[in-house]
Amino acid sequence: MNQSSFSWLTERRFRAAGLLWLAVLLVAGALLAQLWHSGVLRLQSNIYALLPASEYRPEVAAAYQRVSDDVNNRLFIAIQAADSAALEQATRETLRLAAESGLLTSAPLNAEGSAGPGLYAHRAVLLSDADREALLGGHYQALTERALVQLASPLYGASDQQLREDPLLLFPRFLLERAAAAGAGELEAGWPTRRDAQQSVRLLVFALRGKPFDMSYQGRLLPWLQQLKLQMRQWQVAVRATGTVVFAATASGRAQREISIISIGSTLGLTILVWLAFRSPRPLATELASMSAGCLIAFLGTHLIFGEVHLMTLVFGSSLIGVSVDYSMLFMCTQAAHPQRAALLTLKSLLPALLMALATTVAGYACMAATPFPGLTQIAIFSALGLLASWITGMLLLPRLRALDTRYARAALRPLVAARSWAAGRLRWKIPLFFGVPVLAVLLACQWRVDDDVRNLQSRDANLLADESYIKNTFQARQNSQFLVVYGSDETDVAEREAALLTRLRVLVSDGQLQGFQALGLWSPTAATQVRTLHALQSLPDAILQSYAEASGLELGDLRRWRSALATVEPTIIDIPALRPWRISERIRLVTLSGIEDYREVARAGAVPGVQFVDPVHELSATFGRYRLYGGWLVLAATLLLSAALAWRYGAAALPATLGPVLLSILTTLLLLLWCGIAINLFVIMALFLILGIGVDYAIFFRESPTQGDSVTVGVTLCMLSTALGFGLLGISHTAVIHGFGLTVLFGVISSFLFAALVTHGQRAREPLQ
Amino acid sequence: MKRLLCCIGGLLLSATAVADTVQDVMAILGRHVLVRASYEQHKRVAGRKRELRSSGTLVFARNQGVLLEMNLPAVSQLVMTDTVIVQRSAGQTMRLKLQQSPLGAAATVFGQLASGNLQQLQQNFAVSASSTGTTQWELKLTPRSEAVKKSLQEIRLGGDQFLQEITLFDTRGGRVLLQLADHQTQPETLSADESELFQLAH
Repeated sequence: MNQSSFSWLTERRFRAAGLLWLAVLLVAGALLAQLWHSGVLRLQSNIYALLPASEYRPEVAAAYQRVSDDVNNRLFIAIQAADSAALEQATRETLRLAAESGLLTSAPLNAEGSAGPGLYAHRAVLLSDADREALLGGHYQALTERALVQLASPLYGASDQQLREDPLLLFPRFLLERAAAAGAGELEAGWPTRRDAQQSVRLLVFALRGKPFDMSYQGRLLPWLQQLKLQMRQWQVAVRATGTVVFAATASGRAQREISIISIGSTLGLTILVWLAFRSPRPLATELASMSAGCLIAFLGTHLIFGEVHLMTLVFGSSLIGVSVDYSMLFMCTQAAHPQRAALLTLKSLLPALLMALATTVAGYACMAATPFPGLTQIAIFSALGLLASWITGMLLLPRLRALDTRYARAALRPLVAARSWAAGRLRWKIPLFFGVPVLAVLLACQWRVDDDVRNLQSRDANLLADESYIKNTFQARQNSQFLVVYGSDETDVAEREAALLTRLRVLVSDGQLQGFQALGLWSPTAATQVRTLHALQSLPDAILQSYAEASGLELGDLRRWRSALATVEPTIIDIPALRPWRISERIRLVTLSGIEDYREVARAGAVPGVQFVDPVHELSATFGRYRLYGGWLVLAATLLLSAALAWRYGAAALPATLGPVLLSILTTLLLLLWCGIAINLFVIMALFLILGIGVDYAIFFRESPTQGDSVTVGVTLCMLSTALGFGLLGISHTAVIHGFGLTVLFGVISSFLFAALVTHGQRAREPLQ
Repeated sequence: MKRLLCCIGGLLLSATAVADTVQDVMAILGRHVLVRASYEQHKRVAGRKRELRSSGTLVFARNQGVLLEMNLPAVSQLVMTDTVIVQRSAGQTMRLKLQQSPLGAAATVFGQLASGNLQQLQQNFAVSASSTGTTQWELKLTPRSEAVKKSLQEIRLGGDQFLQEITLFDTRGGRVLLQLADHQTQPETLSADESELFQLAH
């Protein structure tokens, strides 16, 4: 490929292309404005939207969806006051403000207390386990003895009507047993409340009236909470809040602040860099133009493809588009070195390098887009589109402008140029050998630290964590994020399977492996059990009723009437609102768990057909781990693809000089990460992709330039510095994964530059074109 | 004006006197490490003519709680501390945290009487005291919490050197009267069976 390949690129066509591109940009801008105006632009901030879609079977996925919706759509507000009066006042005021704000709906807890009234209608079939055992085993004495004890208890106040409807007091003992097993707190007007000598604390539960990950909703909710806290403070009432929305809102607030810091920092750094290099503010304007064009096309294209743009895409994507600065830098430096030459000729001389560099980087993104992580696909597509648009804008715009003055930059970089020419004759491909082997050896000898914990995706604010644990401890919320899903062909099938599962779980509870569990089956016996229970109750011997009547003072007639009325009771699934959280559909039920001591034991109890143990955090992390490995193979595949492309373009003998530096840089980066204690995860692997693309660009730029050209040295140095500025700043992020990503790219870019500068040299000592 | 001052003074004096009586009663109740007494209970459910009678022994163990051992009409044991109830009957033992239980409100009274913790008692109940004779006293406890008020109206305690009577009034019109007799303060240690039951509550 030589410059004659671009002979079709005439001055006239170049100008026409420029105008056409300008028209494209204007149309895109108008379209974006129109989308914004009509309010369909959507920014997504749910970090989990970046993850691959569920790999579960439909029943489990439905349960999973229900659980995460239930968890994510709640806000918990704990109010803590010195005395009861202040607590009542604070409760009323908080509920009033919440209703007034239109942001929240109060959602009193459906625990044992509120389940009672609805369940009472089904009392005939609701027996405690001990009573049912005694009844079905024919130990009637035990049954009536317990009834007498209950009746005589000074703590139990029965009503006359209740004694007629449930003379053996089976239902209250059922409720007592459930309460003893469940560990639900004392509810006052539906709110769990704790009191001691110093203070009273109440937990108010709200359902969100917006989406927890919708940033505009978050933007209204957080200030409301802040206002509530201030107002309550005047009454000496402390307010703590927790819930997905609070964490998400704080995290997205932080991400937004980080984006501003990173963009301000990058811009500032770039301004100084450009001024030092070119002594002119003009490159800033042209870079801004090409970056804006890139972001415009990227945003529009991504939104058209996905229907929304994720906040993470903006964070990562906008820095990735920053790589496009490299192409313009190279052009400006080359043009500055040959100010007399026609700009279009300079462009033509650079096009092979620029096209090759663009192609390799876009190919890198294409590999990234092929991952099954929707988030990464979106970032890759955003970046590829942006980079392409930015490249086109730069290449069409810059040749129309005057050459700049890079004398000072060239003077400053003379030592580097000298070092390069010294290395040119001596080092070459020996460097990869001399450096690469020991680095690889160290890397292999060291233990890799791998961390796929999905929770690293979000920065977790320490104050929020403190509030969360306060609320959990105060109200003894030990419900685990793990749960069991039971499914079957119909209601009977699923009920039988659930009953078998609950029997196994009870064993775990008595062994201390599990603190407790909640399930529909605890409240609603299977149809078969109901039939047996009803039958046994109807067969209670008359003698037993008689002796019970004598001991208790109840009328024998009432007892007999109660027994014969049981004949009209039909077995039924107990479907009351308080129990719906555990009944996803007729065929799917949910079993929630609390206080798991050993996950494996619970998983084993759930390892039967029709039951699945779900551990969301662990499984997402495992998915991350799988894709980290998958990503590693993709990097390898991309390297092979690149080496083929480079061998085709420059010959196999040149591979150490073209691919060597970037491979060496990847090894060095891994070594540095190891030293910095940064664990390898999917995002580090993705950063390696980027290094592969950028690092090869540097090698290509050096390779495509005349051997001793100092303009390319200046150009590539500026490229490296500007990229390092962009990514180095990502390293300040509080989100563990962005931090790791930023540092990886920073190390990679600097080391790629150093190795390429020393190892890669222009082969075609072509004189400047006439 | 003078009369008004006298009135206020009188009110203040009587208020202090009442507070003193409450303190005194708590002191009397907390004087012995262990008090055993036999009890007879008359329980009346609103709308029923016949009372249910039961009897057994009651053990007040200072700082531990109260054990109610029923012998008639059925055998059961009920331990009440200020946080937990343990009930054993017909081979079934049930342990309930008071916060989890609808029975909690009344049970706390037993537990707190045993612990002698007036401050905690006053947290849950408005306490008023009156002297009904030279050595006779009566305490009236009215629940403060809305949730408790729904089921429990009032508790009255009466006694002299010992607690003699406990009456619980529920909101439906029912009433439980416990009459205590044969108070003994020796031995000061729990039997093995009794300790075991208290252990369950801790």
